[in-house]
Amino acid sequence: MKSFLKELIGGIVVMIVATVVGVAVNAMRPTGGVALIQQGQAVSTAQHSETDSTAAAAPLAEGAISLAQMKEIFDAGSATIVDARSTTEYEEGHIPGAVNIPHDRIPEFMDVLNNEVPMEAHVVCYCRSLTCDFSDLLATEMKIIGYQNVSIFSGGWDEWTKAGYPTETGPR
Amino acid sequence: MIGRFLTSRVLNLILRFVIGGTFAYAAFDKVLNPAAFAMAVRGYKLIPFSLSNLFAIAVSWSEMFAAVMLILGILTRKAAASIFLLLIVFIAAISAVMVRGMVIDCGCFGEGGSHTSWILLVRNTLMLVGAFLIIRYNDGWLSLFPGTRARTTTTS
Repeated sequence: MKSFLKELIGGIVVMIVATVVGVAVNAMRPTGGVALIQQGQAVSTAQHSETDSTAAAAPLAEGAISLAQMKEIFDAGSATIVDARSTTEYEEGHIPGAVNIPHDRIPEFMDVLNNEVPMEAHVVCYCRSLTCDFSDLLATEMKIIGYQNVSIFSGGWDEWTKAGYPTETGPR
Repeated sequence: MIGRFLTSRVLNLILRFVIGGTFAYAAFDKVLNPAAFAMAVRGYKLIPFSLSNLFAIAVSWSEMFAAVMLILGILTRKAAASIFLLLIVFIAAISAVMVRGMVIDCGCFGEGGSHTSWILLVRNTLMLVGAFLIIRYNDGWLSLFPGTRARTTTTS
């Protein structure tokens, strides 16, 4: 047991050395590497919930968009709508005109982002429902990439379809 | 019989190659592309946002170091201990995500990998047991610079 603990401490030392080397290599990368302290903030609408008892008093979380606002934006075409769900879910049905960027496959979808979602556009992300995280995650990453104006339609696909608003199926 | 199998040097060597190989393969993409792995780390929502990049570098390089050391047999038991600790972190993180009902990219093998699921927990637990066996029973067989040897240094 004593020997086991000794090895674990040795293991921690190995990880510290590896981290120091990793940080050094990162700093020496021609591109400058990634920032050691990531600037910016996670975009989250987790506090926003219709069933939340404090919801009446508290306004929507910053950057969050209600169903009514979403419908206005949709009718006016005033924002680029981004669907953060998987490709399969997107093909089964989505808000008409929405661009599909699965939240966990952003590197693969960089071309789509570059071509179809202008940097300076107002972007509205949505996913399945109030409780899903995908739109938060996608919005956070898009802000890191450089999108300035990213909002989240918190109600998502569930709220949109329950309201009976138009939908579209199939790949883009 | 089973006891002799678990403590055998052949099994120990196989475990070194399988676990070391898995970790080396997993770390390769992440070491080359820390930004993508940091993205996956942020998906877990477990550590402060600002530290996600540093954490991504620490994890991927630790994986790479430990894997190479394990395969070549350099301070073998300490390398296995690093992997043991990393696996505990991974198991805890995946469990925490699953308890919250989230399904995210696990970040296991770099970008576009599998999603968090119980299968990952089983795989990681098996590797955890393997790493434990290496720490406990490695005797320095076919190693470049094994450091401490289990059988000669421990009697318990």
